[in-house]
Amino acid sequence: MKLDWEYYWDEVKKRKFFIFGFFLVVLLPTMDTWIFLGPSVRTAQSVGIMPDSVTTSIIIQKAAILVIFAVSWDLLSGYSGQISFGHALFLGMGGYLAVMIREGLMIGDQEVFPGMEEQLVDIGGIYFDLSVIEAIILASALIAVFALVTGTIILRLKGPYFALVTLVLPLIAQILVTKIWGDFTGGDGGLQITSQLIQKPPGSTLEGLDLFKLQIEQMTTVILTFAIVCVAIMYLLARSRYGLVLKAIREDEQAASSSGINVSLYKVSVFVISSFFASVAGGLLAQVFGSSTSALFESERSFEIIIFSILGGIGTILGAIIGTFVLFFALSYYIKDGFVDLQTIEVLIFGLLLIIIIRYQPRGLINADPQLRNSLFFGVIFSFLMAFYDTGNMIIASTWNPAPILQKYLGQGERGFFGMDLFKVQGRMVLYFIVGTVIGYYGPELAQKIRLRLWGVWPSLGTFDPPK
Amino acid sequence: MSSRPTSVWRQITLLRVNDLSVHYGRAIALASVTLEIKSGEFIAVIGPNGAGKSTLLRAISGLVELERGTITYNDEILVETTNSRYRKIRKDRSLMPNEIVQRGVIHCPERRRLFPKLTLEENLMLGAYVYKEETEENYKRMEEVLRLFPALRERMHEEAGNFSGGQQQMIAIARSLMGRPKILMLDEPSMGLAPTIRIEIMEKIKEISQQGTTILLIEQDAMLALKAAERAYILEDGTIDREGRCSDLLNNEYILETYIGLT
Ligand SMILES: Nc1ncnc2c1ncn2[C@@H]1O[C@H](COP(=O)(O)OP(=O)(O)OP(=O)(O)O)[C@@H](O)[C@H]1O
Ligand SMILES: [Mg+2]
Repeated sequence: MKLDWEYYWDEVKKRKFFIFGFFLVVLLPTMDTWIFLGPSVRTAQSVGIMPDSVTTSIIIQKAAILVIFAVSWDLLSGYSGQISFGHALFLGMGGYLAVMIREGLMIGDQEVFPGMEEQLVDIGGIYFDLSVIEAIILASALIAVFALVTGTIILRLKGPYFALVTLVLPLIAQILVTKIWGDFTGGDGGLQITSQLIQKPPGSTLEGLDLFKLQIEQMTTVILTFAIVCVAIMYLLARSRYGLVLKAIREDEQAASSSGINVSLYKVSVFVISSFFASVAGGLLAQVFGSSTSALFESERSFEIIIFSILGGIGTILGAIIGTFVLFFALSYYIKDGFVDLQTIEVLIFGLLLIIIIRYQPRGLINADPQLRNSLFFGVIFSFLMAFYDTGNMIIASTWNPAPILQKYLGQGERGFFGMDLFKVQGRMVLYFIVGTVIGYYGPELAQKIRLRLWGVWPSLGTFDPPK
Repeated sequence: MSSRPTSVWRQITLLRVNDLSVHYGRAIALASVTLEIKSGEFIAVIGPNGAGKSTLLRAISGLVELERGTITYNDEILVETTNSRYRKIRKDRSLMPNEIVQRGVIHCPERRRLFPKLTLEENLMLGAYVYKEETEENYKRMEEVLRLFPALRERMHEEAGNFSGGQQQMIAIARSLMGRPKILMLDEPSMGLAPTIRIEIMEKIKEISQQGTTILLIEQDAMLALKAAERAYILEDGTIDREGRCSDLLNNEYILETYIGLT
């Protein structure tokens, strides 16, 4: 016999309401402006069991930029099959060049290039400096020209040889900007951004933290807009005839040219398009970081998005988007901004995930069997959901997400019971439940076993009939 | 596809390969090959492994660089290299492979070479790549092609890699037909297939030939090829060893001995 909520839950799963859940994740940072939830969420944030809206906004900004970057990689490597291990080359070039174009270029006392004039515009209440965006686009266009030249040369190389060259190029670039061109790239410190993308609205009375929060939120909007536009362009390209031809080239170059396809023309063109969008991502990332440093060229940047895309499903665009957004978001919540100490195991977690996926779902989550796919999405989404109830002298919090409570203990060097706990913060009691773990995917048998012990753990796969 | 054309039309030389030599590094794959194909003819090229048969087709499609020679199609130069030892003028008047396909010189490559992860329909559509603008036309053409291979029609959205060898060969031929060939060059379509399937495929090729397409067929199975074609060239060690009408060659003792295994 099924319980009522189980029918309801099946219904939700069937109708793919997980999209709704996904929006919840995106809306989470704006929740403290909600009238009803506001006070208790703010309380939860103040006692540290929920990331504050600034943290979450920055995570979203970075995730959105990485989505552009990952999709540009997927278009080149997933679609046309030219596997690049050094896409960060364009990320870094985009970052540096955009800043240089906007801020001007000085070598010693010699001004090589004066920089752009400030151009303040107000669109929908967001008051920003248009010249920064123009600089990013101009820089990306120049880098696309650079890609046209290099692509024509290196795309003659096949398979592993091409990959090898792409692996080396960002390393060379890194040495160039830190050691050799230090005079105008700022060496190890990088190029600082002095002109902010988001400006203070004229006549605004906001000050300090409030102004900062407003700017962060507006920045998120601008970056999300960029991400949506860029990804939409690349998605449409990939879904068109152009994308089909790229796939044909990936499958069999000789057969493609037998069909009359000008293989090298397509390869170079996709390299150029991909580099353009990767550079846009680089320009935006520099804005988020506040500077362009040689870290943009690091191979970690290149590998990160390859792993995201493989997890999501290579050669599908959608896989790159979902893989990047969900994974980066989840990892940032749990690792980067959850426990700083655990940052070093990020690579380990990536590696393990990669091995598991390549072993069991080599075509990525997007191509996984639908039940597994949906339950994984649900698992990640529910891991963000939290409930708070502020009784005045006690906060009752429940979540699927153990990160905050782990963070509390790791932060204080204590050990605790991770199912339910009572602790005191700023003179107030917090009662904290973890109502599930972020496994997200249980086989039917495992679900039965777990459900018998823990209240509220929904099996994501299969149904469970309690013994009559 | 029109019905069989008149005999006057059949006197026109469609494709002429003149003094063609191809080297792979030091290896000589083709040495001074000359052949001629008339409109509407069904020509077979047979020869042992490594004779240079595939190289001949690749040269006509513009996929390999020539050492020397000219290939003309309808009196237009497709590929030409005039080459002296010291002054190599390459690709001077040659067309790009895609331009050659545009002329209707279509190559159905060895080992089928489908796009395995793409669907059957996508494979066929890629065959019509050079006719980009007229998608309507392409769907009409697909209907025509599928009339020849009705078994494929039900499985249009399956990945091409999932089909059996014989079906994949059918798909490869269908894909080539999507390019609206004037001259269809088939490289060993019977490779690795059971005898009954070979015969079935050869029947299809005969049907295509009867509908007016000029055919240049490369085959290991000499008996099969000589029975289907009108005229044949025997290629050995990169040179044309002999040529003639298939009926004559089938009575030639040397041919029977070396290629068909009869004495
Ligand atoms: N890409 C290549 N690089 C170097 N040598 C090659 C290459 N392709 C073919 N050859 C050589 O050229 C010669 C002719 O090859 P080709 O593939 O044309 O033979 P074939 O007649 O088609 O043989 P088969 O019946 O086995 O398909 C062979 O000796 C082969 O080793
Ligand atoms: Mg061959």
